[in-house]
Amino acid sequence: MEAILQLAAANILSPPVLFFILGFAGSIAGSQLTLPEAVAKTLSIYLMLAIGFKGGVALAAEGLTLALMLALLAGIVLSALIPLVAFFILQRISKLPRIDAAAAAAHYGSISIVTFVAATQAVRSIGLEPEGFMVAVAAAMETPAILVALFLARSAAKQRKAADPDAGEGLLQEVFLNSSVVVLMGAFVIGAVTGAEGMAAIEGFIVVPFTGVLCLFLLDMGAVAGRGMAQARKVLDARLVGFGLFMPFIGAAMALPFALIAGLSTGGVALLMTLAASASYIAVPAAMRLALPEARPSIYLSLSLGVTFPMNLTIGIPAYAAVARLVTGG
Amino acid sequence: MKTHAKKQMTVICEMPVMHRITRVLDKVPVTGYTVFPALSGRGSEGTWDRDRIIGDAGRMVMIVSVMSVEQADVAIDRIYEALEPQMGIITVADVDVLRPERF
Repeated sequence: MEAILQLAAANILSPPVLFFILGFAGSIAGSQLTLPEAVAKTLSIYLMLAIGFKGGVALAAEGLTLALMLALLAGIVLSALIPLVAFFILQRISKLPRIDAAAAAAHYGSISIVTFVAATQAVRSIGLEPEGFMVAVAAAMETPAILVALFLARSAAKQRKAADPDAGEGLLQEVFLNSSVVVLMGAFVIGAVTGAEGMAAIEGFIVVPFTGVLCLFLLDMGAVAGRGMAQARKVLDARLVGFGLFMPFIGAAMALPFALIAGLSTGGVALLMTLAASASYIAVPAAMRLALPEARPSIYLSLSLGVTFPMNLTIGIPAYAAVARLVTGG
Repeated sequence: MKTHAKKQMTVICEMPVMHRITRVLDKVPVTGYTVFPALSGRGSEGTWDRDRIIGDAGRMVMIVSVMSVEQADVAIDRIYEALEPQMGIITVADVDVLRPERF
């Protein structure tokens, strides 16, 4: 417990998380703080490019390993399993219609790349070096959950398809070619191909400014999450808020045995737990608007952005890292 | 100056649905269309502001296209089908143009 508290304190007192809290608190207090859309988009692409490239360079040094294959498989299985568990829990504890529960469940099976970036930074700050290929695992976990959610909401989806045969158009691009997957995996491959020489060429761009850019981005994300929480207070009851707070720990617990079987390092275990705990709020909402337009965005966005994201960033990440250390002895 | 009667179709929809609408317009086919980003607004779900939303879900765009009456008859049914389950607005207005061969 002491270890968790120490990690939590170190995490909360790091500049990125403090900037996140600043944005969050400012937004709750009524500040109009916001970054222009184009700036926020550029920052997010920068972060994905940097983290993807670094992961690729690390893979070039590590080489293709069995652990990489197992971790990829674990990520895909987790992304498909977690929505089933989330859906089951939501159906038991809430009165959400099936389609709202399925859409919300998809968000928990998919991942938040910002949470992943923040976790990578946090894990490194306590001296743990996760496997570079965890970036590829993150990308692989983006999409299976969406397909499972469509299966869970199949009755509504079938009605939609009968009424409009083109309903699925654009969804595949949204699912498999959304910008985070393209940039993350593209940069990962470029990093793996160019290796240490590539890193030396652009190190000044993607390593030194990284933490500062992350601070700026998390300042904006804090404001967005604060507005999400304000919205959550209006649309979520206590049971749904409880779901948003505890589902991440269920996801993280599900990931732990997978991470150990894959033979991940302590940092890798913490990151796989974080990925399983995080909930999407960019790629999946856009896919849900196309595939399940009847599902209410106010429910699933409030849950993932207003409840789960801030909890993960402040309490979740250090908790997962502490458990990873405890279990692996790292 | 002589003017010619045409129809102007305006669709306000969510960004993820935009390509579904433009695909319909491409298939009609209409001569062209223009897409504008919407900055902010208020609807049945409350107010929203483009810069205060993360991701494309919830961001709105406006698609404007000028077409013949015959094209409008075809487009309106198909766009209604594509947009029916989504949030959004479709309007059709009578407009006058100076160069009818362009539409």
